[in-house]
Amino acid sequence: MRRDVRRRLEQYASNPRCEANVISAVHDVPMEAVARSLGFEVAVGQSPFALLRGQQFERSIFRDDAVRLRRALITQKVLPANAAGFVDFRMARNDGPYPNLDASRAAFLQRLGAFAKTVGEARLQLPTILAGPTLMVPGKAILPDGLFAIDVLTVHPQPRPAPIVLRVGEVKVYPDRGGFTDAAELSSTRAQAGLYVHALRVELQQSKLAQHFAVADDGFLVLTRPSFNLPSVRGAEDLQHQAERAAVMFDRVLRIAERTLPADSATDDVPTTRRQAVVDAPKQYADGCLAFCELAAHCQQEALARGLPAALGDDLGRFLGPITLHRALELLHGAAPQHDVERDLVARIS
Amino acid sequence: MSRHDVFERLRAWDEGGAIPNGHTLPWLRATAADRLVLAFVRMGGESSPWGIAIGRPDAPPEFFTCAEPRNADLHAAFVLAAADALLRHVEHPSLLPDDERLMLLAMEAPLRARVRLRQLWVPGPSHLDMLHFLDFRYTHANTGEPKVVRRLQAFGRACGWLFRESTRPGQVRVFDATARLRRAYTFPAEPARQSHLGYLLAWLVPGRTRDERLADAREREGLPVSVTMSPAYERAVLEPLVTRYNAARDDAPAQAAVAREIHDALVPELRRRWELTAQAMSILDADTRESNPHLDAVIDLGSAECFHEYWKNEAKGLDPSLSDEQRRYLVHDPETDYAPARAARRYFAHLHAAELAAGELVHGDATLAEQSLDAGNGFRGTIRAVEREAIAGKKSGPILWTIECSADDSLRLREETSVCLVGARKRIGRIRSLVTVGAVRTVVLQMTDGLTRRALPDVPEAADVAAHVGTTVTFLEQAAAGFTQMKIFRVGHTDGPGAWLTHAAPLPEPSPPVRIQANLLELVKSLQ
Amino acid sequence: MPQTHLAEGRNQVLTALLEHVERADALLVLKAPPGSGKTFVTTRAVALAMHRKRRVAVAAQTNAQADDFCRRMAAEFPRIPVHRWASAQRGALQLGDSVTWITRTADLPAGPCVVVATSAKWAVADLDAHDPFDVLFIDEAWQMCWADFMLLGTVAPRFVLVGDPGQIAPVVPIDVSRWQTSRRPPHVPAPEVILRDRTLPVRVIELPVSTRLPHDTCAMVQSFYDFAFESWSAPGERRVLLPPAATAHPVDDALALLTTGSVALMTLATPPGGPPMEEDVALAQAAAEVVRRLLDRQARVVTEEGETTLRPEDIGVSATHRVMNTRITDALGALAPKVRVDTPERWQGLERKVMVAVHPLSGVTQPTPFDLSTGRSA
Ligand code: SF4
Repeated sequence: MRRDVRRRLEQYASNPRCEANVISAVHDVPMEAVARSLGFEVAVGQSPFALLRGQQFERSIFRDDAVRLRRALITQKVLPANAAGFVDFRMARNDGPYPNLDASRAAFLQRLGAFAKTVGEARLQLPTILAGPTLMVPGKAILPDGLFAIDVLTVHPQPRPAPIVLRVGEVKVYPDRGGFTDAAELSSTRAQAGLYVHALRVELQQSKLAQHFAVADDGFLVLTRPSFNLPSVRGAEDLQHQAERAAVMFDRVLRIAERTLPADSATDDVPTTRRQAVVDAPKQYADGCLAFCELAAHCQQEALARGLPAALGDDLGRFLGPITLHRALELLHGAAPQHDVERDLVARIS
Repeated sequence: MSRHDVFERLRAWDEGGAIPNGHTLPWLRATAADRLVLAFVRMGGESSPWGIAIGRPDAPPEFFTCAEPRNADLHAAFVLAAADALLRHVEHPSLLPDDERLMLLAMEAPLRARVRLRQLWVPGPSHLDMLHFLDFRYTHANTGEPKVVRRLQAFGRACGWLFRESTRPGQVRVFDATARLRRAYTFPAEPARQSHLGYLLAWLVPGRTRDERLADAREREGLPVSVTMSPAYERAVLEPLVTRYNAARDDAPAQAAVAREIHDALVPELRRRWELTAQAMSILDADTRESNPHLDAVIDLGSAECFHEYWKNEAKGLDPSLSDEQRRYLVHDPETDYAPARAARRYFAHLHAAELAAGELVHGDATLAEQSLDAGNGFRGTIRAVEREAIAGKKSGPILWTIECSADDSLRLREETSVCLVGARKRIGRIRSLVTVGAVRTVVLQMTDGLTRRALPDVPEAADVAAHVGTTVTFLEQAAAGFTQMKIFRVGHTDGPGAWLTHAAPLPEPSPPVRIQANLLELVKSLQ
Repeated sequence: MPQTHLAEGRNQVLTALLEHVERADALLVLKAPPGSGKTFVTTRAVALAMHRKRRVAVAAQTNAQADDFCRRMAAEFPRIPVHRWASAQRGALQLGDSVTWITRTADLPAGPCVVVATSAKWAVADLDAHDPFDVLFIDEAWQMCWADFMLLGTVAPRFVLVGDPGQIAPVVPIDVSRWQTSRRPPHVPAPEVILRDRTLPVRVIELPVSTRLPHDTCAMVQSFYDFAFESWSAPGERRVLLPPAATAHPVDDALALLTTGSVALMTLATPPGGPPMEEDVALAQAAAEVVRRLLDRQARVVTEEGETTLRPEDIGVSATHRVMNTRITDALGALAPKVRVDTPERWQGLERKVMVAVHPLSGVTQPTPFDLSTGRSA
């Protein structure tokens, strides 16, 4: 039950103060499995219709040498009007030619090597759309599911000695409604694209190709036109900050992992010891938990039982400080404050 | 969230249930005839509805579904069936006899009176988004029989207008039931949990303990209320049905039977959403609080918006002599206002609406006034001096009030800010100075409006009498709504000399080239 | 030491602006970093336009800015008459011998003139009965949103927009989702909208030097600008001198950093349970304490102009929330009237020898993904 790396990084970032969450993210122990082991019902999975639609959309934009996608990229000026050429690195199950991620990655790196050697006119006529190129996650040794595929890359060749610019694109099936496009979805899509920018840079570095290529700080998102199966491209998405954030987060997660990872190998089953480590670790419930963690209901209940004010919102936690809910209610009902913090609260609520 | 809101949440926890927020409700109760409740569900990954529940709150809703929403023709037919109720609700002019329509178009007031209290209720924000998706899908529909296409387009435009209206600050026409409950009550739950309508309603059930309500809320939270259904339900129930439906492509009776099964599977999902909304509405109706007495201006603005931003264009669009170009101009694009003047006009209209709603309602609800004070938008204090400023050569200078307040209170106002007196809002002053010494903050106000008794019949004394000294007064920031309203009209002037830039009018003739001969730096120096 | 290449750079920009005015071209945007001599070059351009017998309108964003502009014109070009057009509710101010205070539209002068008013005043003015103006200068143009700029289309056919692109965009109190993808988004600063439209005949010039910002501050803010500029002062040229303290004080370590550079960062430990919700009294007191300690220790400031003793008037304090500013004012006590405390928007265009800034993320325990989402770059 391996989860994609970005989700684990986002999970870590969503509540880095909760030790259980950190262990779960770093050791790749899905919270879902932990919740199940505790006997909670967990609503999992995606809508089968949504999955299908996602696949169909992706296929449709890459069909016929990505004609639809290219048109949209040219309209939005991500690619120049004369852009041509398409290389498919996708896996067979997604309509691509490769049996697995390793094969896709090998082909991708080999192709990049060939790109790097081109000169003159041939260089300026490199294929401009690369579908599904696979990368190795920085720090593979620690984060076991070390390969992942970028949705799409565009290639922007320049005459030597200038590097060839690669631009990261992320494909999502949610609709582009202009300014009304779901801000949370956009934010997480950008985070994902930013992670790819970082990972691609690391990959180029490690493959000794860095001097031939530059990964653009900006990328593009491919969304859908509302109610149509057509791509809507948002160009010039600034991913610089997101890439830096990904780099920092990788660094942190790897450092934590180095300190604490048990030396068992990655398998599809989460070892009980690791699951138990998450169960036993201290929790720190916060507002964001509900949105991402399968233990949220359980942790909130526990926090309420312990009278932790954050169970009713982070802001209430800040309002009450170290005073528990039980004690706050006593003070509200006229109990005499015992120390300065309580006296301060009584002054604020009276 | 202000400190007040957070403290109220603690109080709600103490009470073990939702507690009222504010002394009044910032909308009017309408009769069932003026109300329509609407709820959607959609197929995962799709952006148009799969089913619609629609109806007045005093009768069972009608349910419309589509067996295969990815089939454009089926979807259009399903939407067409549901369109009537919504078009009736917005008084679509195509439903009126010609003479009545022309009369309403010419006179404006009768139509505005008719739609003044019309309210559309939906369960939550994702249902409002669905209106937007329908706008995208049908406003520019162009295939099919012309009459059908016109109807679908009208439906798309109605959805689009209702969606846009839902984003206008202070509006009281499109009601997101979840948001309205949160506006009316404080719930003892973290803000993130409060986006579930069922969860909120559990906290409003009378006669229960906190633990009972909490347990109920948690249980209800498990049932989705947004337009998306649970993936498990889709997988277990709906996906097999849809597969069977598509497989029966060549067997019409079998396909019709599966379509009925799909309908039956969607109805409970729609019903739950619709009923929760109706339930929220009736709880709010049964609330003993009055509506805010200063709502009139807000509602009037809403009916004017309805007429000018929607109905008038719809009525004009029915004129068969209009060219396509003229007709296009009457239609708003679903995504944005591309024309700069229209964008700016709507931007100012929204600013004006926000200022009007904030400025009016605060005078009709003591809690709002307190919250505004709490947020530092005003001050309360005791009048220590009332005097006329002596100005050389003038018989009488401006009236100054010196007010002492507690320095502990928050204050975000600065010198030059205009403030109005709570309880006599036409009495307005401008802050001349703000000085804090120790625990006392002294505000000197120059009184600028509402100075005489005649101007303010409900205030016993003119602004310059010494009798005010010693009284406690509350002043709040004065909203500048009138100024913004003026901008709405002025931004439509497209004939100024700079319109080539501001309103994308044609570029002016370039001036003949000027040869620069002088040393301009020296020339300017010589002007000093 | 003033650096000659910087002085030359600024003269080149001034010349370009004057040539634009001389040719009566249609549209110019002047990007000016803080303290780069924006008003210096604008007053000269206005003077030249008036000399060429043009009708010149100047729009400022606040009354205080309009008053300041008039004062500068009166001081630097005393022979050029200027009309300050203001609301009848404001008492007339004495802004200089060459400045006439007018409040009625009917009093607008005929023929060549310089009229200075706020954008709001120009926006609702009925100018039909008057000769059109030839050119409109807009000061602090990045503080004006496009919708407000549109209202100025009735004033003149030519525009010179001057401002600091690094300034905070105008605060918009409503949801603007609907217009984010509009061709001319009404809520976006006017110069940005103009610069996005590649079809417009716009000339862009950039002032290359800041006299206000010390060397290291310039380097720090440079990333917020899409053009390069330098500090007038050399590294380490501006600093604070602190005589030895008789007794130790908690803020002394932070102040000591100012003796070698221009930026010192001071942090307060977050109380258990997180920082207070809206107003942080402890933080306000700490900011006031920095001011008080600088004055108590009789700090001296070294700039290109020499060494002077720091006075309360030379210090400013800024926090993003107005309620916080009121708290800081309270904490300053008797110093409050002399030490200006205001929000960053209101500080724009002003300068002090020492600024104490309360960091805008003070009190934010965990920025949300949305806070961190950067959005489109163009
Ligand atoms: S829900 Fe519980 S385990 Fe998950 S992040 Fe929050 S506190 Fe930690």
